[in-house]
Amino acid sequence: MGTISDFELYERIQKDDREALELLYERYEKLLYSFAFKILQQKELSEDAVQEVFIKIWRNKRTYSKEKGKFSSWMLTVTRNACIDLLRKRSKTETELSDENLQIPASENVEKTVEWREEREQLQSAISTLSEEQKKMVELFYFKGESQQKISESCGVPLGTVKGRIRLALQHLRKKYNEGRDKYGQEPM
Amino acid sequence: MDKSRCDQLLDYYNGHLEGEDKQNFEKHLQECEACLSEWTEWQMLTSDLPYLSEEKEPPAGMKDRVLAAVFADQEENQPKAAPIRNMADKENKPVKEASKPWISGLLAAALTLSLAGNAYLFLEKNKQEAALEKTAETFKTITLAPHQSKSSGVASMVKDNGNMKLIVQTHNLNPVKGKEAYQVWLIEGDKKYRAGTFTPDGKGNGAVVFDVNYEGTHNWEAVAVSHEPTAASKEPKGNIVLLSEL
Ligand SMILES: [Zn+2]
Repeated sequence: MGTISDFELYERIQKDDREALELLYERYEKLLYSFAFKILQQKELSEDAVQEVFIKIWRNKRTYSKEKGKFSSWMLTVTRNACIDLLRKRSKTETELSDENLQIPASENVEKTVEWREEREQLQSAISTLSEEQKKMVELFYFKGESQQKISESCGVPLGTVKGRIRLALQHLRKKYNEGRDKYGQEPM
Repeated sequence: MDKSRCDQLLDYYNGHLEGEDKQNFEKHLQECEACLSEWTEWQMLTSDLPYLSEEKEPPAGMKDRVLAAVFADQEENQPKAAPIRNMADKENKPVKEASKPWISGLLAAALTLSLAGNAYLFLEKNKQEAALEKTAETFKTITLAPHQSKSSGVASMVKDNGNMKLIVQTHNLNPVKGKEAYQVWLIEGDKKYRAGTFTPDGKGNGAVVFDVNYEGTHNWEAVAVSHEPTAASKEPKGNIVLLSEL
């Protein structure tokens, strides 16, 4: 992936280097947009979420540090938070918005875009080993950002067991995923 | 330490705790080793999940729009733009000069913005504006004339601690759709300088404060407001809806 590391780009952004922000944008546009779309299921809102992430990176300097883990993971967390925020605002004002519009191919990027097809396939195969209830709980917790109370209601499990059940599911998922990765000798992103 | 708080970890993770609950949990997180290590574990366990997302092509033009928004108030030789919502609803205070009644609140906001140094943070945190208008002086206030529209507005040039600011308030603007936005232009001869961007509220009211900090000396002749297809227009592309000589 490129010659400049994410962290180097981030350091340059601290010095108001617009080109660095643009490079970072090109690198992560597709991943962040796809992730936002997975949560929001709507084009305009997904774009808004990604925009918010880059506005935060550009204007609120020094919010990331290496202790917070990988830069890409941090950006994904910021994206998820922005999405869940939008999801909640949306559910207050509108009932349901959903589109699966025609995809217009974006212009060719100068910067190589992050790709994650193999990770996705391995994660999907790991997910397939979960029970239906576990899948649903992970979906509601992580991709819908729902509260324990709501998850307990929609899955019909006691409130006190929600956390333990999701944790078990995620641990199982991670174990399967790591096994898969070991088999193919892949590096996590 | 209240062990019952340990059950709130997930709700905190998903941002469901607010106010006192949130503060209490954050305090708990510092004291409770079990929660702290579990917190780290949850972050680790979820860190791969985003890669489950199906690849989606970003919409055409997204990059330009996002970057325009990111750099919007930091354009070199471009003034800072800071849309201020709901300012028109705030209580009006008397201003020493006979100017339009809403100017007072906007001035206070303009000053707070310059103090905060970060319009975005100001909007996000919704901080209370400080009543500091006594340090600012109004140079000129003009009524913006409708130009093939039923809109109306007022613009003022104000000097605040040596910095020129342009304050624009509008009424009855047509609503914006999608990525459309209104832009304010300062006109000197045949040159148009983009002063900033804003979107009006549902009633067509907009209130914005822009820093006027172009290099060199300028003799501004007019102020215009145009309805643009996107916030990124560097030259007016859409219809001019308000226009007046300074
Ligand atoms: Zn605890």
